[in-house]
This record gives sequence, structure tokens and C-alpha cells, in this order.
Amino acid sequence: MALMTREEYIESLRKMNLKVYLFGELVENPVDHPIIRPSMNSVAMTYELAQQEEYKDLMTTKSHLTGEVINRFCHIHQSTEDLIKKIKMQRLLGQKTASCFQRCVGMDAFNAIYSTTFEMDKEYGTNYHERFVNYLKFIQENDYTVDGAMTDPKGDRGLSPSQQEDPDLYLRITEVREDGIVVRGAKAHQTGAVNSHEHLIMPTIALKEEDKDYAVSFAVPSDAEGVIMIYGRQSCDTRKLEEGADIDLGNAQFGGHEALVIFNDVFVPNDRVFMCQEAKYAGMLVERFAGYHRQSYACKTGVGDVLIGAAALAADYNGANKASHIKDKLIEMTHLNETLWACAVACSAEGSKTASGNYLIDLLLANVCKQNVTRFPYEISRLAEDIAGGLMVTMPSEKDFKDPEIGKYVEKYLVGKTGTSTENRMRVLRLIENITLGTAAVGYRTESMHGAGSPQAQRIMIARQGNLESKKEMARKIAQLDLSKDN
Amino acid sequence: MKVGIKYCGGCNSRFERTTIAEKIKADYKNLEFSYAKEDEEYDFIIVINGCHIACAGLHDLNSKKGFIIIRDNDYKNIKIRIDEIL
Repeated sequence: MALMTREEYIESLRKMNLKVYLFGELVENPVDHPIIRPSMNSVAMTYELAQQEEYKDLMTTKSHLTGEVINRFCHIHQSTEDLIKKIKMQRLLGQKTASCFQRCVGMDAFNAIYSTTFEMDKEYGTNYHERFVNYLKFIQENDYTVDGAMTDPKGDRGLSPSQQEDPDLYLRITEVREDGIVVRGAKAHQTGAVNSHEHLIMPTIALKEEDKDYAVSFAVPSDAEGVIMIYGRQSCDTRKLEEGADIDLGNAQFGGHEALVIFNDVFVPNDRVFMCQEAKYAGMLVERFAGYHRQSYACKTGVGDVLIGAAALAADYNGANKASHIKDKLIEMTHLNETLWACAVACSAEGSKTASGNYLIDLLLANVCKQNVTRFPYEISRLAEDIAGGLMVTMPSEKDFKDPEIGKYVEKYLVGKTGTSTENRMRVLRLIENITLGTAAVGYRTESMHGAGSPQAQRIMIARQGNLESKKEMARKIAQLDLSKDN
Repeated sequence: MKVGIKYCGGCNSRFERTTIAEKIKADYKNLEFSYAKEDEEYDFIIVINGCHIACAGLHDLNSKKGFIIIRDNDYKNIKIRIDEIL
């Protein structure tokens, strides 16, 4: 069965023997842990919507490898239409979860490794592409969620991987055997790692020959021997542990997560190795994955849709919805959100075919897209907080609201527009809090800043792709410069 | 008559697409509705898009009398178009 149901996905995770640590303890049952569960619900939504007729056009497609209907998250993009449908799917899921749904990293890794291995094999006569295609068929047939893992801890940023005092600060090959390789190191900030069936590893930077042991790409099951995940904590995360927590969570159903994933001398058999010491191609793989993933930040427009809606509802409950400055702020939020979307559509529509046959986004526009994402969600959040009012951070707790003694005071004094519910007003304000500075702010704000590369990484790519010399030539012609007069 | 229903993916719908489908099914009880599949042939296919972009993929769908492409919730007009094809 190429498409798992939501329930099948949850059960498939339950069967895994994951080693997940949270608050210094090994988590016995990650699937049902109250802090982890909302993030798993977000991934489960990628399975649930794929089963529903009204979402199938975005959520599913046909595998070019097997002809079977598969989840789009397991797909190799075959056209610019596929690239556009990818971002539409991401916006949809952002709207449905108001969170990071975590499955994009795997999809982006598939597409980057697919084309890079093809070009690598062409130069070296290796068979990485064939291995990867076989691996991908396995993923598509089982409808697995895969953690596409790139970011190494990196230690001293002024030193190359092999110059680090501790050589494990970048994930590396420690042994090449006849039947496979042994790797050691870690991947930081791994989105959805605990909810993934597999980890698919890539190098984190372009590498020189002296760093060839760091040029490695491979896949292992998430419960492979030697793999340990340490769950990242989030602002307000322990609210989920409070008994009967609901209103105070803002978004009780959904969330996202990141984890530090450790690889303690993990053995990887050859059929799961897709790059082994080919330092020259590390840069290509990084650039392509980053490009796809910068396009993927279209997801933030879906979360932005929810935040704009929540801000508008807050204005309704405050009785301020008719004020012209409120209307103008909502327009500004929409303008910013749709500007993000415009760049995501543009980099997809201007995609092109790689030598392997899959489609790559326009790298310049994808980097412009992500550069905007490092800024606009902050401004959208600021405007949402402006519209919501200070109550979103000073409001008494849900327990106070439900308390038989003092609940009546919260009900009485926190009421908004005549005839509206105090509880509903509290719920909307908590949702805004959740997205702008609670657990979901990890995804909507700081991940927007640093995910898929920090702002400077995009500026380097914009400089590389910006074609400055040709722009200077245009100016020379229009200004009729006589270059013989220059020294 | 055998009628296929196909939805776009619904990334930014301006209206509730399933409500349109339910209305059509209620008003044309004599027609046999099912979700459009590529290995089946339909007398006609109603494609319900949530906005004017109308991006629903129609590749490999088979229809004898063509497609009714819906991109807004003007139900009066939708009925006229269905009646025309009938």
C-alpha cells in the first residue's frame, strides 16, 4: 500500500524502538508523550489529507518510478507544475496545523540527492543514483516520513571540519569497510526527527579534498543501533504537561519539534550510502537541498493565514474591527504574507530540468523567497501583537478562568465586544501567543530566520546568482562609457 | 448518467468546495456521482476549484461530454452549466 492512513502512520511509529531523550530521561513511549504528540499530529495530517478527495490533487501524485499513487512528500518533481503543487500543499498544511508539519525536509533531500547522485555517477562511474532510486522506491512504497538531515553542530565556525579540535563536530566517516561505512557525529536542529521513520543524511557545507571524510550521504532507520535523539525544548512547552491543559496551549492539537540527533559509530550498509568521500559534490548537494528548502518556506504563508485570521478575530472580540488603523494593519499583514507567496510561486514557475530529469527551483528566486521569510513573519507577528493588545501576555490562566471562586471575575472583566464569549476571546489571544512567542514561534519566527540557512547564507547565494557583471554592462551601454578613458 | 467529481487541492479556497458538491448531489439525485478516477470514463466531470486559478489536474481523466470547471460559488451559474450539458 503506497498510502498510509493517519492511524497506520501512528502505529508504524509505535512499532519503532526509538531512543528519544527529553528532560534527561529516556522516553518510553514517544508517540503518546504529551509534549511530543502535537508535533506527531502535524505529521499525521500529511497522511490524513492524502486520504481526502478534496485535498488529493495536492497531497498525492503518481510516482515516476513505479506509476503508483504516492504521497507528494515522497515525490521527485517532474515539472514546474509539480514544484508549484508542492508549495500549495505546504501552504495548505500550514493552514491546517498552524505549525511546522516536518515532512518537507525529507522531500527536499530526495530531490537534491536524486539529481546530485546522477551527476556524480556520470563523472566517477559510481552507482549512487541507482542505490538512491532503489531506496526511494522503498520509501514511496511504505509512505515513510524521512528526516532530511543537513546541519552539523559546526563547533568553531572559523575552522574547517578537519581543523576542529573535536573531529566529530561535523558528521564524518570513521571507517570504510567492504560492506559499508561507519559514521560518527551529530545533526542539530533536526525537524521532525522523532516522528520520522528514517534519517537521510547530507553534508552541511561545500568541502575541500582534505575534508573528504565529511563528504557523506546515507540513510538509516531512526531506530538504528547507535542513533540517539535529544528532544529540543520550546518556549512554554511544559504547559502541555498541565492537567487538562486546553485554552492555555493556544493550539492544543498541533505543533512542531526539533531534536539533536547523535550518530555513535553507526554502521551503514553500502546500498544505503549515496556519497562517500566525493568532496567535490558536497557543495552541489548542499546548494540544491538549501534551494529546495528555501522554496519550502512557503509553508509560513499558511501559518501566516492562520495568524492573520486570528488577529482579525481578536479585533472582532475587542470590538475594534471597524477602526481604520486595524483594517490597515490587517491589509499590511496580508500584503507581507502574499509577497512571501509570490516569491515561492516565482521560484517554482521558473524551475528548470536537471540532467537527471527532475526539476530544480530557480535558485536566485528561492533565496530571495527565504530572505523575505527571515523578515516578514516578524513584522506580521508584531502587527498581530499590536492588534491583539497586551492581554495576550497578561491574561490569567485557564485554571483561574475555570475556578469556582475567581472564575467569575475573569469572565466578567475579560469580556470584549458585547454579546461575545470571554472564553472565545481568550482562545484567540492564546493562539496568537502560541504562534508569536509560544511553542509555534519556534517554527514561525526563529526557524524562519535560521531554517534552511541563516539570512547571510541567502545573501551569499543572491550575490552569486545576481549576475552583477551583466548589470554593469547594461549600465555601461546606456551611459555610453568609453572604457579607453579608464586606466 | 455517470458524473465524476474532481477537486483542486484547496490551498487557498475562497469558499467551501464540499458544500458545492453536496448541493449538486442534492439537486441532481437522478445522476450517479463518484469521485473521478483516471481508469474510468464519465459522461461528464465536474471540477470544483477553490479559486479562479483552477489548478486541479485533469490529466488522464476521461469524459464523454467534457468538463464543467467551477472556480467560484455562483451556484445559479453552475446549475445552468450542468443543465446545458444534460
